[in-house]
Amino acid sequence: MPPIIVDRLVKSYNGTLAVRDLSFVVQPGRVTGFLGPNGAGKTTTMRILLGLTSPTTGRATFGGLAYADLAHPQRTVGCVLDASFHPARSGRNHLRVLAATAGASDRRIDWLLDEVRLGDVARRPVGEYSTGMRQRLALAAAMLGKPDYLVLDEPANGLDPEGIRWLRSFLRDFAATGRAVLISSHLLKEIEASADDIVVINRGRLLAQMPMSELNLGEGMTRARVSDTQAALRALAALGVDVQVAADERGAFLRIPTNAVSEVGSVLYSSGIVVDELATERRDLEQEFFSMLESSR
Amino acid sequence: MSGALRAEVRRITTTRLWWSVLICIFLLSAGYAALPASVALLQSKNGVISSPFTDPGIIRSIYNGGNVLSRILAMVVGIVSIGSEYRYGTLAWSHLATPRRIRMLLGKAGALLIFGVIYGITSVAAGMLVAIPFVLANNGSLLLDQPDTLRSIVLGVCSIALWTMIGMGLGILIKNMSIALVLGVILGFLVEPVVSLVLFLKRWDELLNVMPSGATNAMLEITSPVLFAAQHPSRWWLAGMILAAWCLLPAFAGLLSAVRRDVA
Repeated sequence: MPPIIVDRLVKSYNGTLAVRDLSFVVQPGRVTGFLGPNGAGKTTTMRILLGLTSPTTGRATFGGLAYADLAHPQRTVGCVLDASFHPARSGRNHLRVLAATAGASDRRIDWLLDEVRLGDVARRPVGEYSTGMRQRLALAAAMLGKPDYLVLDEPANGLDPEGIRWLRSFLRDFAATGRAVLISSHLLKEIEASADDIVVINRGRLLAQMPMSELNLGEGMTRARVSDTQAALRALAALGVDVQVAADERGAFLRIPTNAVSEVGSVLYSSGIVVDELATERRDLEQEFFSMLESSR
Repeated sequence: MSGALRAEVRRITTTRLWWSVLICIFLLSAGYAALPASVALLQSKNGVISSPFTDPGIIRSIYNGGNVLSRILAMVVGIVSIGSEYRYGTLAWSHLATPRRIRMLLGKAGALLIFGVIYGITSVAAGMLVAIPFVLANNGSLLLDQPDTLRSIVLGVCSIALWTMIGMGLGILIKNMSIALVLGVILGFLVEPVVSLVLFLKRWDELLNVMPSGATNAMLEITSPVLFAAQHPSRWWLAGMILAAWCLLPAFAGLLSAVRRDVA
């Protein structure tokens, strides 16, 4: 199955660039996490991909075809956007409306409603649904046409822990059959748990596209908060590792890629640098994400 | 039926609006059909006219008595069916299911036209039900064997169906459903009748015949002064074309804007 290709995408709103020359690939058989802070251009990119917003220049395609050119869009691409529904229409009827173009039977509708745990409330108006229930209905709608690609914008919004766990295993099973998933989420732990690749953007620009395996998450790091960052960098050069300067709400700190905390402490002590904090930390996606944002500023 | 059309029909039938309006149209049409029937009965008893229920003009005005209200309600359905999509942000679902925008909008137009025809049939059927007891009690005739009566019935149905298209166009052009509704109702119940009244009093039949209600009256061959109808109406086919133009104008303008703009 061919990949999703975003090729030199540009979107300008009255001269303000929301997406700037953005290119990336979503490979089949993999879950690709789409990350970026609020206003980075994730939703705009996804809406362009789905033909809801027209790009200023560039293309976004599924197997070489723009969404509008797909012969059977719902049977090719399933998507979750902002989970908006007519409040007076029941969940089941919402799926019945979409089933008319997706070519799905009533039996599949009922199966999907049970799958997303909405079987009991399927005939109730969506206005009575919680945010999580609406999100699960949107996921059922995305799966109606048994698509090859999934494009999901914040699909875990409002889901309870059980729902999030279900979504995670569902995405992994979906990708395992050779199909492609592009998922944006603010829940970085979730992306870390379910994605094979990540695409990181900020202010409409690509910051990174890489397999999660290259991030070496889980490896030990040493975090040092010191009185003089520049002096500490000079002293730690003796360790022969690539020391990074990072920042959090407490201010700047050093991230040293080694488990040897005592060795780091010894170097800093012998250089006469005051150490406010010295601790081991596990590298996770959140740290990597903020490092990427920090380095792009 | 194409998938897009089937989806839009399901979209309409899965909320309460369509049957609520259907019941309103039936009841109001019956009430409004009873008016010309009762007036005719009174006139006959007072000796003003003899055997009114064999007069084709009176019979046609009973059948289409509900048209004046039914067409406004049909327009409201057109406005709400599109306006609610903007209001609840559900238009994206339609676009995702049918990404070719013209095809999607044609699906919506087709579905609304089907319901417009159903509303038209309901309105005329209510008029016919009211006519039956008057005709039976007064040795009259339903005149269903006369081509003019049959044409009037068909055109009555068509005119109401066309007004749903005017509503759809308004709904696309004015994205705020409440404003579109208020505007539609004000235009239908206030501005249009007032302008028609002025034109009627000035006896400017040419202008009156190109107003939406004037065209509808001419199409139905209604010449009643109560409805500010022109005394020299256009031919029914020309009036039909004028009304079609009225519904195509906002629909086409709406179509152009909807095809170009991004989906919110």
